[in-house]
Amino acid sequence: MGSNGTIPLKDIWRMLDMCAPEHRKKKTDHCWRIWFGEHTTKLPLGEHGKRENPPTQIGHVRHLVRLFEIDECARGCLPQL
Amino acid sequence: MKNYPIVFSCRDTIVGNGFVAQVSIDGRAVLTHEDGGDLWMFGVQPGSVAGGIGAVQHVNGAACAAAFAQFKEHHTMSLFDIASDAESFDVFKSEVEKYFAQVHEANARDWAEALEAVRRSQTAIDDVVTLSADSRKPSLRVDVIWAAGRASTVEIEASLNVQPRFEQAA
Repeated sequence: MGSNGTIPLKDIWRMLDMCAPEHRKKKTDHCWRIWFGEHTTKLPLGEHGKRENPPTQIGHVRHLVRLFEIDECARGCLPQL
Repeated sequence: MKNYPIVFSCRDTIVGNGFVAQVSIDGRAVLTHEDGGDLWMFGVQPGSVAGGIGAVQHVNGAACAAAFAQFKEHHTMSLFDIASDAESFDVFKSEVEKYFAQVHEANARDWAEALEAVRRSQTAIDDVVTLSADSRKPSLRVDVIWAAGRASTVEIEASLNVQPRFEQAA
């Protein structure tokens, strides 16, 4: 795994509550599955398996916010983006 | 930031609830080298997958392979999750088809622009094979290897074991 930046999962949930309030999420055996509108995507559970607030690589978050088309709002919540 | 158009092929044998399936995908992804050094593959189709590495100074075959390994792991985890939730092969196949059908529109635009740029400048990533984008369109095949009461839809032989691969589209 690389050394690129990460964002705590709790901060991602806070951003989604703000920018995609109708989203739904479900923890599966291997990842978090997230639905918003007609789109669905996944966030990994973290490098060491299931944890409550794993650091999530920024690339996964960038991918998610572009898929959900919430880039501008997300950047306001997560300046790291 | 610089984007490169990537095509990839993955074949995964997945064990589900009462079945064994093989999922063969030809897909597209955008390889992005961020200004900070992150090197990420963002799925175009299937559009829900991404994976990457950090601290890459020079984009070459080894760096791309490391980013692709992370991308491929995320793809495989997605198939594992679909298998976990599916009570039969038919449900699994249907859900994989939905997974594959989702196109990441923003990444698709980046992919098309990157392809145009590559064709204009004739540039290629060091140590990465190039392939005409027109020669490998996105495609999906889901086969039964084993399920109660069903015949396998593929010959069960060692040639089913195929390494995942990626190329730069040109």
